[in-house]
Amino acid sequence: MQGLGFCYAMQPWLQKCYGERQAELRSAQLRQLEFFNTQPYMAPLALGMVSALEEEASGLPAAERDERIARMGRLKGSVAASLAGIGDALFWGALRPFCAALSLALTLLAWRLDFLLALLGLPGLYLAAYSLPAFFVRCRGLGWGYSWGDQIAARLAAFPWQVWIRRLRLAGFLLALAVCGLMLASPLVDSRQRWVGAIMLLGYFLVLFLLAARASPYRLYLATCLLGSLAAAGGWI
Amino acid sequence: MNWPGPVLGAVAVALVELDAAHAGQFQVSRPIVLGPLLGLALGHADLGAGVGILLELMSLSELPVGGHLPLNATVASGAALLLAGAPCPVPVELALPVGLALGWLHQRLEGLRRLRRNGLGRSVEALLRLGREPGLGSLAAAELCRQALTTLGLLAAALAALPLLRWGWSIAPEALKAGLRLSWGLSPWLAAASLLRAAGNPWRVSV
Repeated sequence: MQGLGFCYAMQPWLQKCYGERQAELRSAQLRQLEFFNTQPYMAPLALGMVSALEEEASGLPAAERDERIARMGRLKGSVAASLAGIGDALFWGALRPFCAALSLALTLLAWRLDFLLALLGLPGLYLAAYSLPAFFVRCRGLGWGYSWGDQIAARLAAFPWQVWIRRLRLAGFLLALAVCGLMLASPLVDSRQRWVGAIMLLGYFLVLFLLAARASPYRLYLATCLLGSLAAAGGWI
Repeated sequence: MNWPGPVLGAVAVALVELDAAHAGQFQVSRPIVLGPLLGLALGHADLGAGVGILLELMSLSELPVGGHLPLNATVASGAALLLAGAPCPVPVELALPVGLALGWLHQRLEGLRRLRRNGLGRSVEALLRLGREPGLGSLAAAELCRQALTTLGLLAAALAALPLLRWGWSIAPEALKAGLRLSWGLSPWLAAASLLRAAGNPWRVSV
């Protein structure tokens, strides 16, 4: 899936490693065209690792190069899968909900001061909260992968990814609860709407939680529309 | 608000959509970013923020992992805002489901585009084996253009269909309108529940 992009990213480095050796350069380009798929922010780590290994292989005699290249291919595949597991859980599963909850909570607090400013500050808050760690990993990842080389698996295992993912998820969950509380406590909501809101919030959450993959928020939105239409047709609302 | 505004807005959404998966991935394509800014550009900052926040929270649990292609929230939010913010707008309670439909359609079209791109790897491989330069940069640029044009085409079709949507809304049964208004009215609570669900079990580390 990302093989073309990976090969494109490797082009300048491969030309540097193999120079005028066109046949070896073409072989290197062909092997970097192979299937590759990982989380995009973690991809620089794999790029750095492969850059180090290609540089090392380019300096070896032909007899030793083939074995090193085969090892590089196996390492690239397994590292991509590991990086995807870490990156998906960290960025998509933990950081994105955390940043959404954080920016929403701050916006709900700030809107009492200036509504428009709070609404317009929301994108900036979200981007700042998300981009700082994301850019850090993307920018430093290439250097890390290059310096770690084939020791990347050990270096990745040494970092407490699960601890940070759990912390982000806990923080995101607490902030999400805060957002719900701020919504229910909003002066824009009267007491009747507050009760309705609390019941609907709990109901929607239970449906999403219990039905999991079978109940997406989009389907719930359409289901609400359908039930509302039926209720209106029946004269209940 | 004149028509150049929504047309330029459609172009902007088509370009920003590339950030979702094809180029950059700086998260500027997320509805929580696009919504308020597009809403401000169209003269409806509060509507833009409302739609953007709603679609952001609803899309949080739709993760692009393992080759899964989620409903395109960027197109959904952009289309909904363009329809609700155009010179002859439709009500937001209609614009949102239409936006969701366009986001779903974009998901399908992108799936077909990705299937087609699978053949590009074989073409590049054949060129390399013949000793020829594959021109990966030009290939990437061409694919990005095609992706942007696909998005722009969908949004342009939505804007062109505005008179039809307004006519449809005028003849729609009151029960249907009531149902759409109800779902829009309850959407903040659905969004909050989606956020709670996406934040999920704080002790789980997998996706």
